[in-house]
Amino acid sequence: MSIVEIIIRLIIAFGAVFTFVALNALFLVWLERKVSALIQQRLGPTEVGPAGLLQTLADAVKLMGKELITPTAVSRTVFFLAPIIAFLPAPLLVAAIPIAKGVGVSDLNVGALYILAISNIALLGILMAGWSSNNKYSLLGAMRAVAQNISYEIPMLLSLLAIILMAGSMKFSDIVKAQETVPFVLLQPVAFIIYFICSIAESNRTPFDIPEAESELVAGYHTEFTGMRFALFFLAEYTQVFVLSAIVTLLFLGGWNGPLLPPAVWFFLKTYLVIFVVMWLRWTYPRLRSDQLMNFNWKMLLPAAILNLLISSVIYRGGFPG
Amino acid sequence: MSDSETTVALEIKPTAYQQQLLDLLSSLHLAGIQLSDFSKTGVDFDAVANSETLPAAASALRDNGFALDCILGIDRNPGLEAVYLFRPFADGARVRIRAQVAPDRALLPTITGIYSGADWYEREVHDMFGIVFEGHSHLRPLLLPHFTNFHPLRKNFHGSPIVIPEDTVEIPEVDLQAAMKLGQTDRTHRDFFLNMGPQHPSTHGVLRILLHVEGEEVLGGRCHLGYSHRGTEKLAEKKQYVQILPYTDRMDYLAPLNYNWGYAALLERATGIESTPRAEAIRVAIGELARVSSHLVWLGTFMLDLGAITPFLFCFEDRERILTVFERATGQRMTTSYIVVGGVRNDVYDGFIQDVRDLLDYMRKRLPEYDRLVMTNEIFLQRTRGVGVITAQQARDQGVTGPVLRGSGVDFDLRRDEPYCPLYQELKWNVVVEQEGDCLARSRVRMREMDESLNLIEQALERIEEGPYRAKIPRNFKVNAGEYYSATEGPRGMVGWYLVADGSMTPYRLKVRVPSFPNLQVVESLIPHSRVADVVAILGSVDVVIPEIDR
Amino acid sequence: MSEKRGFFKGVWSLISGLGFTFKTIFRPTVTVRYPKEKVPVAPAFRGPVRLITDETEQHKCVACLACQRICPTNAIPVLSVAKNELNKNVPVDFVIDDALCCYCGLCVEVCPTEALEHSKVNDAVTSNPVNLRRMILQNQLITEDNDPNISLRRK
Repeated sequence: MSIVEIIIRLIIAFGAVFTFVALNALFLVWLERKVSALIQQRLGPTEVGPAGLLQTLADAVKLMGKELITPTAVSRTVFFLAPIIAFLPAPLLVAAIPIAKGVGVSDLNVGALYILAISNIALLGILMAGWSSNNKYSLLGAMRAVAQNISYEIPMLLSLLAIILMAGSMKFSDIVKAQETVPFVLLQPVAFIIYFICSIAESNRTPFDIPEAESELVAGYHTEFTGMRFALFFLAEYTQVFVLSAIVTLLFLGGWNGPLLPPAVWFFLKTYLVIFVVMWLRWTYPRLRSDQLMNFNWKMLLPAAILNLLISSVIYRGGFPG
Repeated sequence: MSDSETTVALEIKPTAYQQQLLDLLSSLHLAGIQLSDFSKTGVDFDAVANSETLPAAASALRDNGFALDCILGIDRNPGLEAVYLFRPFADGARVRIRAQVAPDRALLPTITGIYSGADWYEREVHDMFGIVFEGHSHLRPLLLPHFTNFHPLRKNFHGSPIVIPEDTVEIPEVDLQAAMKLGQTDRTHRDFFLNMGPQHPSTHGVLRILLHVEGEEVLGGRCHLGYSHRGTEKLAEKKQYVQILPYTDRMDYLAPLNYNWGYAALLERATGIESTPRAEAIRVAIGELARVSSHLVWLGTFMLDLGAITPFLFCFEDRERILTVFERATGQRMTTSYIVVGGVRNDVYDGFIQDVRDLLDYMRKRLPEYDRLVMTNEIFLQRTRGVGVITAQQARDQGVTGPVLRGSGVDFDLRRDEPYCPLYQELKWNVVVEQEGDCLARSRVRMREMDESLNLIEQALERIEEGPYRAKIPRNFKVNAGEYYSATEGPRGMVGWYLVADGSMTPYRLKVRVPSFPNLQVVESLIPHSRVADVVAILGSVDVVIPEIDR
Repeated sequence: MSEKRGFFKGVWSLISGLGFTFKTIFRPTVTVRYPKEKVPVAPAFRGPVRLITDETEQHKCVACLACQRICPTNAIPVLSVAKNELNKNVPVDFVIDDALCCYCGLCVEVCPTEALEHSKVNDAVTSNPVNLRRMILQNQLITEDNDPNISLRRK
């Protein structure tokens, strides 16, 4: 591989990832509006573009045109950096997700571990946002977000381990390959439920949306952010939703395996189905209280995840790892 | 002391229960004890207290199961008067105790130590009349700005331009925060103050709650009112009786019809005009519809407070259908001005009965869906069960009414216990009571009340008989001099109207006792040692309408 | 044991709620696409007050000032009277200020000659407050047409 080739590949990868992140967020916001409208017997966006598809684009343009307000009492450097750091993991995560065999920016051999590690950088951005805003609501929201995300990381990791145990690899393409006959959701239903709940909690969505709890904390950690800064948080959030759903697809739903249709189509079909379920949950449930959220995690999810890991290691590996 | 030998002037022969109460009042060293005709004045017993006998009388009434209805001021010009209204829940017997003071030395002892609900009432009377309640722990302005040095409901106040002293704006905040910290000095190192409102998504209008918070735990909170104070009571003193009607719409924007009805009931009591049977049936049908629509808004906004958005939109869609019927029947969706003295403004339109029947069928299908989506939802139960418990005694002391009271296990509904419409006696329905006193109980009361209201509407529709919809009365009538009280059951509780008439076409003083006022006051005592999220849940579950409180 | 049942009941309640919202996806929408679709106005609707005039532009107002007196918000600031050739009172200037009007309808109700009525306009808008002071002798109603500043898009 010559230097020129590397640079060209790099540019293509960058372009592909950022385009995808932007388009995906636009589409997801539109989808969210349409799903909520369907459930609530409304129409949703209809005016801009066919079926309102360009509404989110118009909103994005509006956000770009807005003034970036920096309140006088904020910690300026941190306030400036916070949305960038919160957004940074989004393209990095997308880059590590293969959409079909051999298709994708990179298929790391520690893909699952990489995803877990990188996604937590966003948390730093959230904490910085809450801390620097010099707003009590922001601070409360950021604290809630950090506590929640760190707590739900543990059962998430444990249920992920059960999958790695079965596939014998952390590489996504290997995990998908292991599911060619039976998807892991049937072999590991408990791990699937735990992982799915944790993904919703990680992406701060109802019923686990306490960091942004509108009726309590106004807008949580991004209360003070306007314009493009706010849009970056928004972009990061929707990309995270996509990434977490994509990982659920890869780990449990057999990835791009499926008959007739091309693999990439299967992958996106499954991913957006998972996203639809996530949205469906949001438009059905009220939110939990912060202490109930913690209780649910430490008293139910964590023991269940540990038990699940123990049992599956006995069943699938005869009690001996390796 | 002249009142040691109390004279009891009796015009009516008392019943055994009334005699028992008369004996009680006589033993309290009160002067001028009178038994009056409830159907004419809305009050059973009258007594006059002075600053020495007042606390003892209040304490004796509390021991006998009386709740505090209201405290109001009247400027007798010269001389000020504080009027205390008490009422037991078990039996209908309203006791009015007057305490007169001179305007230049307006001092009365506080009864906040006896009735915790007297707190805000005394502050309001202090605001409006300048009566100082000695021993009150924080007699700061409640509805008025903190810098006011005038008393607007005194007769010598004519709305002169108000000068805001610039240097005093921030000082009370510091005082207040210091006052709230008192008693919690051991944990002052990690706490902070959180300003919830006046612009906040879940304060239902412009309410401000100053929360003393340590992390997620709330140590205490104080409500700040008056952001939508419009001086309706002062305005009413300048308007004719008919002209006040549109103002009653605007106190409670969620149930204007019940306020119209309350005002009409007051004037009917004061003038002796009776409404027609047709009008009564229309009133019940449309008043209960208003109750359902108000409860729907409560359900929607409560769920919004708890983070669920879909029920909110469903509730508003249902309410929209009810409002459409209102528009057709009354001419306006919200500011109805429909129920007037002697009946209703205009007859119902031709298809009214069919429209309401359709609505009933629709709502009967809809309510079980809310049960499925909301009331049985495990997350909803987690958020509301055991949160914000009001005990029956606390409810009595605070003077709360309506679904909040019935959610605390007190079986009291003015529609049954203090009939202001004969139809409620004749129709078959139940008063909904839940025992637990938490947010869940209050929610269940309202959900079941909607069901009962639908039953009431169905029966009332059958009672709409031929006949005039409005009694023949002169357009601009006068009310004989006297004092009248009338209470009706609004969606949020007791809507009480106290009228001092001087025989002219305008009221001398009109006081509205609004249900949200004590219902919000109880929130202050519920929030210590809850969580920030619970404050939102409690506030949503008591269902307050701020413009109604501020008037 | 009961706690266990409570757990399953709780889980079932969550699934049941999901089932309900899934069902609502297939229900028809209730949105009225205002302003593309008009919202029907009830015949009893109390819109801005105007004088009833027949084809020959005659009205029945006898300038008794009853409406001005009963108005709770003083929304009839100007109502001046003159005698006509038959020595009867007629209004020469009659202004209703819609900024003050609370649409209570007391003026319509009190009018002895039934000269006033509510128009059925429920979406009157203006961007110029001066337009809210309507000289109703000229039967001036606020509509989109009298105000060029309104940009209400209608297809």
